[in-house]
Amino acid sequence: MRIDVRLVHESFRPEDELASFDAGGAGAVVSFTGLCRATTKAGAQVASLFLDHHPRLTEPSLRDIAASAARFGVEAVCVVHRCGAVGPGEAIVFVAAAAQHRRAAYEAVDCLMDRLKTDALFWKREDGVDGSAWIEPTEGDRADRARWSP
Amino acid sequence: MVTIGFYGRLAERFGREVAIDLPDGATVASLRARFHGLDAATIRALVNDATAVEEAPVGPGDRVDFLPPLSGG
Repeated sequence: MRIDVRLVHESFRPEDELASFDAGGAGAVVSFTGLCRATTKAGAQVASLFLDHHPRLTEPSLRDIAASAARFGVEAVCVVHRCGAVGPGEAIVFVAAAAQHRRAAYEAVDCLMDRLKTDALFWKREDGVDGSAWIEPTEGDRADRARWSP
Repeated sequence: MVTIGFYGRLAERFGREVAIDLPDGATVASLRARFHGLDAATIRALVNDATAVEEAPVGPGDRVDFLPPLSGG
């Protein structure tokens, strides 16, 4: 399985990532892009999102998560994740998987996203006009992650 | 001197990095007790970049990171 993992400090274009993703002749490519929302769950406007990270361990954590997609028999995966300040509408994360058939690619991307929410070394803060709040995984996030245990 | 790294909401409260001297026999648990709010149930500890148990010894030259719950994606 080919693995392409990048932690990026500046904005990136998910359409460029998808265009350059090498499916290597596989029959199915599934991708997901997570964007910074314009509003919080409470409806307040988001000025920016800040993604704190560990200078040495965050990228290896992304690599470990990406490697776990091997269980689905996919041929290639790509994970690109932002850190630092992200503006509304900007991409936070891009995940793609290539497989011979679509089910494996869908499952790999679904699993990788669930794991990224709870296992990647990031700490996310929403900065809004009404103040800032650190975001922590919800019970729903943990339940999503548990679907793929271990 | 032990270097302590904080992330996320902990970095806002304690600063990104703190260096302190510890008495002989210090452990992750005794270091944790010096800071308010480092609950072992939710705040994971690393010693020199590896997950550490509460009884793990901590001494001069070590780096201890305290990680609040993760939120990527």
